[in-house]
Amino acid sequence: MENKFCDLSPRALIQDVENDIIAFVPVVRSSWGSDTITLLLEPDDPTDAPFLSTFVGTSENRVIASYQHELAVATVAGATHTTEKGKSQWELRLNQESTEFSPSIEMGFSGTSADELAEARARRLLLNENPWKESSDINQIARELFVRGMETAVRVERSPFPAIYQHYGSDPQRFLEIAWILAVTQLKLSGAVAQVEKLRLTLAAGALEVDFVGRRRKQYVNAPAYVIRVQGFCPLAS
Amino acid sequence: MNAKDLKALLDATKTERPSVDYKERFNWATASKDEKAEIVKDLLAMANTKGGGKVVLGVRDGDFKPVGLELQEFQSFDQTKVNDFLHRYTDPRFSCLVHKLPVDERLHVVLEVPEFIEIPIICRENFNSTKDNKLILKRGGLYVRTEKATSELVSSSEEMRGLIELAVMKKENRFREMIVALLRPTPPEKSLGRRDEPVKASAIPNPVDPSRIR
Repeated sequence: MENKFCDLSPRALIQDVENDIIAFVPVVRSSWGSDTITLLLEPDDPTDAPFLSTFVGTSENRVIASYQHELAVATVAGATHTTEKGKSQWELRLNQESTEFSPSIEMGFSGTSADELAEARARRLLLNENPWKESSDINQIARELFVRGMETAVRVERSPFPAIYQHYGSDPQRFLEIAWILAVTQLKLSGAVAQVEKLRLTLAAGALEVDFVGRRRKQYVNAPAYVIRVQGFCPLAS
Repeated sequence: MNAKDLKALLDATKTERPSVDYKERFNWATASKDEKAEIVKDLLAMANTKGGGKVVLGVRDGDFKPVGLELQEFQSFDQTKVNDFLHRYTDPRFSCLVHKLPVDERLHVVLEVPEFIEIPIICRENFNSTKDNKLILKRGGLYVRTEKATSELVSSSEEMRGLIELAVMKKENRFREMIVALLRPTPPEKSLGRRDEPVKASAIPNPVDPSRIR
């Protein structure tokens, strides 16, 4: 039997920052401009509709929205619920606030460059390589601060894959789609990469096979951006 | 800031300071872009000043006597509109708080700016006066408040050094806080909850830190 895989999720990640709720909703249509975003969503989870209904009649809710290779922090400009032939759809209109999440200043640490630290962060996120463990060793703690990401919206302590596999693993395709969009979001919000060029996740015998290529923010006009490649397996047993 | 804080500030005031600027009249709805750009310059400069600052509207020039704004002027201020204009010129983007406060039966508006969070705020766009084409806001400019309570581009090594020291001090403090946080025992991991309940974003490993979102 062929292993299930995902190399582009059909779901959007919508996170209400203030209410601390996150949803992964299938997208029917999207329009992602330089200032505004419109997503036509068709929920397939019973908890999605109540969540999306909180945006109707309100504005200025702050959300993180991520779909395919795009990611933005945005405010909700409006939401409309429509039903056609028994199918519920939600149009979510957003005004973008920011789309750039790489830290303004990055430092190397003890012979490891900022790019190499970002690569370690990406490997931790995608393969659960060297997850954070408690320590009182000051050198290990200092290195940890750089690996997890400083001045970033997300600090990577471990891979999210095992925990979400626990929750969504009974539906492998859904798990893969959620893992894909969550990984893209966390890779960018942690400043590991600025662009995701390739991310293929394949379920294979209790592990997640990862094939990733991403590009960091270009630092110098006369030098190409650092490219991070990660290939390997993330164990899914927590 | 509340009405009591403002009253204390107005009672104590006999002069402008790096952290406080006064304006007598201002109607956000009818003000020209030049006038708004001048306010943005003050806000940019205050964001780069230790402790941030406040622009208090409804205080007479010269003797700094509180005279209050007219009702239309008072009503013209809206946090979203002010910040929409401000965001065009700030990098990284930052917002000000718009307080509308009646004090002793007079109406005042206070635009309050916090000190920058990580790195000094740079002006993002040029703005030339619509009257005489004079440059009011300079792209790439770093504005600071001077001891004379004016908002100026950084022009001396001393001012630049002060700004860098402030940014480095913030970085050091944050580094220290992060080390202390890592020395504390890690709380047990949260579960993502039941399948029939919305997922709490903070339960997903590596949750977003809202305070780090600009």
